[in-house]
Amino acid sequence: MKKQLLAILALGVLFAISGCSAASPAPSATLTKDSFTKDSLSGSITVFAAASLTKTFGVLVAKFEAAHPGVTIATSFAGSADLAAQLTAGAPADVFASADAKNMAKVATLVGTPVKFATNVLEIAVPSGNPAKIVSFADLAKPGVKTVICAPAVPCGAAIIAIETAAGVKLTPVSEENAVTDVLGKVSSREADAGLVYVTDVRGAGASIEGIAFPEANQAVNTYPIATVTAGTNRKVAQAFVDFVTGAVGRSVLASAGFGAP
Amino acid sequence: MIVVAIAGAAFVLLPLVAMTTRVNWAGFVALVTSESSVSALLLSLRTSLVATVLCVLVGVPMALLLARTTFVGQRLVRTIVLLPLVLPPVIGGIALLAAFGRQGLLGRPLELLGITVAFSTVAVVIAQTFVALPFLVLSLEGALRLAGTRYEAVAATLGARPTTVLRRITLPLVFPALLSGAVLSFARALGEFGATLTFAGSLQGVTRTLPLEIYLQRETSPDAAVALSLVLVIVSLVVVALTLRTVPGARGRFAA
Amino acid sequence: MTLHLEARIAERGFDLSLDVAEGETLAILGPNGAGKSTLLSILAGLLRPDTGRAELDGTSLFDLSYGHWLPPHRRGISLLAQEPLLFPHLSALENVAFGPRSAGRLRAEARVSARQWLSAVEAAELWDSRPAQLSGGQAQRVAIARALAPEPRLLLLDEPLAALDVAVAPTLRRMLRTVLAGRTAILVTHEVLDALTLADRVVVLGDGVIVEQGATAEVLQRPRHPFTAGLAGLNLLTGVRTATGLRMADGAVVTGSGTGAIGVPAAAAARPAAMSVQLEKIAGPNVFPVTVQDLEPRGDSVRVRSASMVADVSPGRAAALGLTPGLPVWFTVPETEVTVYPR
Repeated sequence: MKKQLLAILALGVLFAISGCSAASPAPSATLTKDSFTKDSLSGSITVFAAASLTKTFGVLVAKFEAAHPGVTIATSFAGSADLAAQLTAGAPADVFASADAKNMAKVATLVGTPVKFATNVLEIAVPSGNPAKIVSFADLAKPGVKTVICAPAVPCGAAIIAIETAAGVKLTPVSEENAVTDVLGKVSSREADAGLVYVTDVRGAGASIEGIAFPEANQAVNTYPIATVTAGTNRKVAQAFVDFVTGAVGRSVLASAGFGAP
Repeated sequence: MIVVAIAGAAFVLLPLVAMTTRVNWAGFVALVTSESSVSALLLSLRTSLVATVLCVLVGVPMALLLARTTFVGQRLVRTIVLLPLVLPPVIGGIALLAAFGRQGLLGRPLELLGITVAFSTVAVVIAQTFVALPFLVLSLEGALRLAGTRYEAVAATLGARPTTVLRRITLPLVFPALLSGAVLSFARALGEFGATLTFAGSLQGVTRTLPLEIYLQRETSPDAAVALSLVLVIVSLVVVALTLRTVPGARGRFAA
Repeated sequence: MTLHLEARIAERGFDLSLDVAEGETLAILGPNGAGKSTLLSILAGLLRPDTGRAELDGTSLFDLSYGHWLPPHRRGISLLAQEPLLFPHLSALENVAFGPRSAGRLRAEARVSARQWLSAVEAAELWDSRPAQLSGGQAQRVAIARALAPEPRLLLLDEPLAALDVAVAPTLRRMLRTVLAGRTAILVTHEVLDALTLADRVVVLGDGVIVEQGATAEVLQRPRHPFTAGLAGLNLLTGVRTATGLRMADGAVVTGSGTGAIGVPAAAAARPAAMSVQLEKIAGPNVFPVTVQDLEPRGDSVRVRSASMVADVSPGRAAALGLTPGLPVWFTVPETEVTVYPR
């Protein structure tokens, strides 16, 4: 009985470990046969990208790999702050795409010159049908309107103060959430009448949410920088990928997700 | 067996001890006495206290019904009552939204009456009560079954009507269990996070309890998060230690 | 008549009807599982029979023909169990005052009354004690006071002395005798001494029904049921009445004097001490062939058991006869020691 239990435990641990290793970049041995193609690019790179880029970078990576059969790209999506911390701690990566300049600045000594490749602005998210009839930023401060925003401490909340100043409107939110997903959840469940999130979040949220653009949002445009990591093992491919993202294909994929041009 | 037991104790203790090594002692006082921290702590204590009182008011009749009567579907009722114990809190939050949210089953009629639960301190208390109630019902029902009905039968033959039996015999007999159940409920309410975040939101002084504050602080000020975590650990320790002290026999029960 | 009860529980084969007169103490005897505790639970209102009715002092306790059922607290029936079951969180005084308080008496009044009852059971000095601090005998005395304090119309006692030390039981038995004098009570007991000293009348239960009943002395001297004979410490032989005694089912003849018409079912009783044991068959009446099953020393005598009878002989006699289990012997008893009576 005891032995069986131990055996099951051991199996479970093995399984978990093997599962982890499978997620790491594929071994380079599988790549060698592709080096006969005329494309000069080959090998594998790892891209660290902000969580808000999950969908667009997924598309871009697929397109890049299709164009360069000898290349394999592993991706890791997380909060920009977390990724910057991982880079500082020596995590192996070739490209870093941050959601803001602040976190890119944290790793300035580890990366090449950052290139701005996208912008994002806040938009008002309302439940489909817009029950509270919100049309402007000022409407969010009207009595009886339940507005949910990100807490000032988290990136999606940091921009709001600048906008409040520009608009001359002070919001009295019913909740200050930790993450964009929490704001979207409260709007899509119709608990809140409105929320403030990035325009790309609205695009990705589906039919339960409508977006309302407002002019004051331009007071706090968030710019996304991308850079190659100096310690990367395949800087040639890394630079090619950065060029791809900042080029025409990257531009159009990002634009369709709602990102603005830098 | 003893080795495994010691390893188990170490397993619980180690992360807590490890956390204290991360505390920024120099800034500790400033970190935990910041306006937002104090506000979160007071809100947590206040809401947990109300939630505990609610648990007692609702849980005592439930435990009595489960322990002292038999009815069709009793097993099902017991299972449902204990469900929040094993449910991921976020699911509790989603379920509470469906019931008490602005579009919820009860929330909509309440809103028509001018009562808004969403984003209010009431929502925090509801979430805490929801997750803490099973602790009270569970410990009280067990104690009631253990105490048996013999004293109650004697009291009835001495002329005591059922309410008198309840007030003067049943409840005093299970009082230690009621107290420890209430303390466990309080501790659970104090630690409630997932359901609150999903259901009540997070606003300083209104719905941002200590665990939510810690979660938020973690984003920008890990030092403050660790300091506040330590405060919550200490408060929980004090609460549990107090029960073990004041409840006769609780030492044995907890040890068993 | 103050108490009349009829009750049936089909599942347990429980079916009996009994009456208790005003001021009478009725002892209920019977082997384990005979239904003694069931009877008390029904009367106390803790167990509902399938059918039946009961009346106490003209008030109906229950009548299931129309679903009437008085809850325990409105019956005026106190129950004293084998264990004292004092409420552990209350002092002795508060335990005794519990009944009067529940009846709506003022706190001070109830305490005065409780003190009197504690004095009546010679436990006045224990008033402030917690049940955990009391000895078994003390606790049972407080329990008696508590049962009496509400001044019940009927007192039920469920083997009240069974859990006590042999040293304490006599004192409590004496106290109960005083307490039960003139009180309507039902006493369930295993102990023949309890029945003799405390009860006016006994009812013997077997398998949920009454197997015999009557005045205590009468039932114990002339048992009709093996259980009663065992309690009374008598050898019981049953058969059909003849001119000189009775004829048992196996044809053996018992000679003795007594009552009853020839041909009626009859029983014969003989004390074990009156029996003698022989190795050889001797001439005369009442000579029964038996096999020794076991020997049991009982103070100054040795009890010789066979399948059907027991005999008490002196240790010297037992040694002289070389009695051992399995030995075939003859039990004899003088006809003057045999009482014959109708069953």
